[in-house]
Amino acid sequence: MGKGVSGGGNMNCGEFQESLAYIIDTGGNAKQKEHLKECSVCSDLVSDLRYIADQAKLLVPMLEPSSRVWDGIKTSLEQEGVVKNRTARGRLLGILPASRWGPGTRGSGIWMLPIAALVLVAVGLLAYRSTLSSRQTASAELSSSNSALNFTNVDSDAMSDNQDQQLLAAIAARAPEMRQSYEQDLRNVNAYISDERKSVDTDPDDEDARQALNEAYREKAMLYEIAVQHSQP
Amino acid sequence: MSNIQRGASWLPIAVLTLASLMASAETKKQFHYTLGPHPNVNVFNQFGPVTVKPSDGTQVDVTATLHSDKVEVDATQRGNRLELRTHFLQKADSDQGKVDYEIRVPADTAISIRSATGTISVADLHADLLIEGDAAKIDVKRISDAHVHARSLNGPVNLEDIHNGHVEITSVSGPVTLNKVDGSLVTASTTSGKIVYRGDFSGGGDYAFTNHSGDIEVTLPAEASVDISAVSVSGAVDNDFPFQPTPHSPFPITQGKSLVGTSNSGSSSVRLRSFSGKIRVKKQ
Amino acid sequence: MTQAKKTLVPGLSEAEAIDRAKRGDAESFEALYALHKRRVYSLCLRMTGNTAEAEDLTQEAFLQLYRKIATFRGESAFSTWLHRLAVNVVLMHLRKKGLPEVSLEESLEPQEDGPKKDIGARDNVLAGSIDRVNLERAIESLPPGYRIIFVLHDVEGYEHNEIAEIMGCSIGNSKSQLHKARMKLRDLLKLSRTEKVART
Repeated sequence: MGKGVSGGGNMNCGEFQESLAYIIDTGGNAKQKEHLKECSVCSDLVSDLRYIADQAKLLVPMLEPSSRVWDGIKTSLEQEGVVKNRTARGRLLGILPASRWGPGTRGSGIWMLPIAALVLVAVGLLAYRSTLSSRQTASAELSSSNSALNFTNVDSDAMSDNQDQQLLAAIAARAPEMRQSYEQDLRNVNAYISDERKSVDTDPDDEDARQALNEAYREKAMLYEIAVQHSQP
Repeated sequence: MSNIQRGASWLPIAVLTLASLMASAETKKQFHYTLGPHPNVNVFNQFGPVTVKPSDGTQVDVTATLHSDKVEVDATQRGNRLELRTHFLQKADSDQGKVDYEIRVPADTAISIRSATGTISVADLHADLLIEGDAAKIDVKRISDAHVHARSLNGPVNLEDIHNGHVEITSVSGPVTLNKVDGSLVTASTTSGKIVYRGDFSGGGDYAFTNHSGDIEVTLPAEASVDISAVSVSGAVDNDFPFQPTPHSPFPITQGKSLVGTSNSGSSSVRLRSFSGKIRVKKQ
Repeated sequence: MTQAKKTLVPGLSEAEAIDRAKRGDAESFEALYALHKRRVYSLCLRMTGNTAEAEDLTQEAFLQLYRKIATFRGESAFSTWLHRLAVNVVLMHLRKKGLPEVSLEESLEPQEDGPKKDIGARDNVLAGSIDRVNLERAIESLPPGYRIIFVLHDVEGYEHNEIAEIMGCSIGNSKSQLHKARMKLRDLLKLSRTEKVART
């Protein structure tokens, strides 16, 4: 067992630990290595410090800033007049609340939000499709129809209905006993989206309504994601 | 031997035969792994319960009961990650495709479980959980210092004794019940599922419960320290808790449809919103 | 649930979004924000330990990104470039606040409030006993100077020479401060573990 105060060689723990800051990543010289081999206190210390460093590397960014950050960015850029707006085509969707870039666009982004759910679904479906090997499944039918999404001149409600029918057809093919509950859930989620859209239309400044609308779309996207997983053979 | 005795004598054999037939349809498989610290275990199941409990040591022990020979379990270890996946060898219904998982893991194991039906049950761990089910009942108990994420379509989600982490529950129509759940961020969102919370909203966290047409019911003790706002757009808000009025409300208060107030020092933020459901705030 | 890191939406890659954002396209900038907001925010939060400050700094970092994106030449990965920008934003903010970031002079005397040396009987090693939530909390409670160096080196992966350049100190200082940060974290994590055991 290592001795705490006087370790191996001519180095003691105090001397070793004074130099530790500079050698922990390189290992140190022969004397320092010798002390580390023979002193359990210092080797435990080094082990702990390396463990802390390793665990720190695994810290992934888990937290999201609140929506006020994005609101602040938009406002600043609008005030600076540096924003150049595109048409509604190709908007990034579903991840951020409806934004109002520039003058004359008040509320114009909101009707694109239905595509948000579908894009979320499409991303999920594409990710799922990449894990499929050679299976031909009902979810691939969904994927192929979703990959035909384009963001120009879409009748979002009609497309949404169409996608819902395809989803139900896929579920009926793979898990017929689940079709009814999916149909009910879709109906409920669509009603949720519809009601909150009306709230947002009535008062576009109602932050709670916008968040609730986003929540509704997230529920629909979750439903699609889980349905796709369920359509595995 | 009389006729009756002769007739009855085949019974034990018949029972034994039936039992062994049933037993032979079911297969138990066991897996044991030794993983490093803070391992990950991922379970992908379709039908059948998944139960996760802590083990005594550092080993992961899995017992999988397969209910027919139409289904198989693939167990793959990659580094510190273990994946258990049910896969169908041929088309199988929900009985034939059923696999029951009983898993024991070190308490610091991060778990993700996906199962369409069956009860998913996790208890007594302190590592992150991600649980997803269609109609599966989700039961999570006694988890601390970790994040809990649960997603369900219409299975009930029950959380009890969850502390010191983030909790995020999303359900479409399944009811969500939170009993003694607190953390820095606790959110529950459903479309039509009822949300029930019983606890003290402690820890100075952000609590947000949202749904469309389900009811939201919260019961809190007198000593709870909360800053609460509740709105039901076309439903109702019922309150029997003695909150102090808030001088500046974030929205216009409509009697019977919204509520704003604080209790004690108002350290936790509680936001309740339903579109058409009823919101009840009750005193314990 | 997999994440397509470099594909923002079907048909729009990160490279295309950068290109369009350089030309002032709002939606593409929004896409870049959505992709990188967590990392930038987490960095700001870990360095400042304060949610409101971290949000303000995240906002500022992305505003600077929008103004400077035309200068991004693709010599490094975009995320690296954005990250360095965010670090600079945080440090400028901290300097304005007058916080003692790093002692520029390496002290030859042991600091009274620094972590103590570990001499004596063995204690249980930490390996396997800490989880992310506790580690994040412990980092949050580090003194600002230690926290910044620890976050830059161990969490964000900057090398000592890069930190020295950013902080305007010597490489030796950077190593010394990092060591002290880790020692302090070790004390905090052991204390947290002891408290947990006492509670159960």
